[in-house]
Amino acid sequence: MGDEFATPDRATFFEVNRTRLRAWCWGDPAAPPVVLVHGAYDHGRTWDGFAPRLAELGFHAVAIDVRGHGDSGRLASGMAWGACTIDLCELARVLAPASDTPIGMIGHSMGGGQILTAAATMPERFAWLVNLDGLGPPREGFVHENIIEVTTRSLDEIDKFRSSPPRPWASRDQLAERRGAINIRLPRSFLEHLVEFGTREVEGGFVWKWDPVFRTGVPDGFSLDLILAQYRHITAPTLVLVSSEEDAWTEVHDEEAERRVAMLADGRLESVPGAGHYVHVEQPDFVLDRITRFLDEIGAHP
Amino acid sequence: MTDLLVLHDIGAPGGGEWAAVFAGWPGRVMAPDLPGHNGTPPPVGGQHETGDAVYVALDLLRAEAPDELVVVGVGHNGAAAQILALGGRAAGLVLVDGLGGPWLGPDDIDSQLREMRRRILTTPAAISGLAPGADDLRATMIVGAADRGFAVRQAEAMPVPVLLIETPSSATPDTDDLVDHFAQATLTHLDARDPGRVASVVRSWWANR
Repeated sequence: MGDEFATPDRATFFEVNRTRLRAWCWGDPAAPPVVLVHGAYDHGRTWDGFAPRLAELGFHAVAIDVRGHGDSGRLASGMAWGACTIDLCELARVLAPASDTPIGMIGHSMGGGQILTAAATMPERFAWLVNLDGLGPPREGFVHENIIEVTTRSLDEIDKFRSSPPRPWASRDQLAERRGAINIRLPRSFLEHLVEFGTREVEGGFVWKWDPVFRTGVPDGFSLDLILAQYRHITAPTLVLVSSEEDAWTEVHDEEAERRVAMLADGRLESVPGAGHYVHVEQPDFVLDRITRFLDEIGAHP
Repeated sequence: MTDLLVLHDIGAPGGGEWAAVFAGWPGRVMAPDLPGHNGTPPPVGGQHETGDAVYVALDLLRAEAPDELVVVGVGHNGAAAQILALGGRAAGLVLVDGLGGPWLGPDDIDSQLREMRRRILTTPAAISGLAPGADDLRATMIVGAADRGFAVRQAEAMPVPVLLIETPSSATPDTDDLVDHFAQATLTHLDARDPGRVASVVRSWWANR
């Protein structure tokens, strides 16, 4: 493991909402908690470089493996967005230092979207939010495709994964190379770290820990209008940091990002110079500086 | 030979009553107790989703490999039955109060979703550990199809003959309008969701299609 990553102070599990969430913790457990929520196909240890710095600010940083990822509980039929957001609401209650004390959350990519849905569901449990390049798919991602083709492809994918286990990769190096070919801006050290804690050994090689069910699902009419509708119910001060460089899985930029953040009651938006989708990995100093300023502004700095 | 797959409603007793009323159907009848119903374990992780019935159905269809299939979706699981038909898994589709509704705009759909999640979060039994067996409480905590635009897109794309059976239990306010969006649909009204009468209508429709 490179010097830029620190081993968590503690590892534990939380039993919430009928599942088990793996959690990696840094800092004083009695300090104000902040929950870190990773993106799709990642895991809690992707915060090993960032979470210790939040602990140094005086937080109890708790990075979870989202349901269906890492060591956390498995899935039944698709990505379970609703269940994951209920998990976060329950975790906020469990971690609150005193009854009814709201907590902070930081989410990246899919995790950024999940913390917004959670905060729209139970505004009273969240004191502040930081969304890292997680405003949802770009507008063109909602263009209606041929529903027969989409549905047939979805069912074929379910049949495929139910019929055969994921194909193992011969080595972790191969997995890092494969992921690096997708997320081309990620440094090799991060890719190796991602793979080291995000895979498990099976007969014939290595597979990702994330549940193969996660990448399946059925069409459900999910729409941009629904995303924007929930934003109107988020009352917690929210900082949104978006990427500035073209990258895989990059979410939304410029006017579209401004339009979405304008739906938040207390939102602020900033672009991170020189960063692709993993803003906190590529520009951790900038991201930490903006989070610190944000917490100072809203009086949430421990 | 045409086999039959019945996906019972969420929160309903299970597949047994449907298997009984379709006894004598010329092909095989599959009417599983869906996850969290009638002794079938709840879904992994305890969260009920519209997709649950689809995953169960696909497992069954891989195992049974029917030559031809009619899928029946009852109530909430009309959504699952429509997905199976759109995805090329059925030669005929029957929806028993299964079109969805009431129809809502994005703000109201979002409100419904948030209210449902809050109801789960404030019901200790709904978020506590999973008990074996039926899951009557959480199984009913699911939001139905409420986007009329999506329902119309599905109807217009439906590639197979459809029988719509509507009863006073239906949540769909405008079936008489929606039926026109299907290329091949027959609409029948019954004065109660009686499985025996539903089975009789389905038999007659398929025999005379």
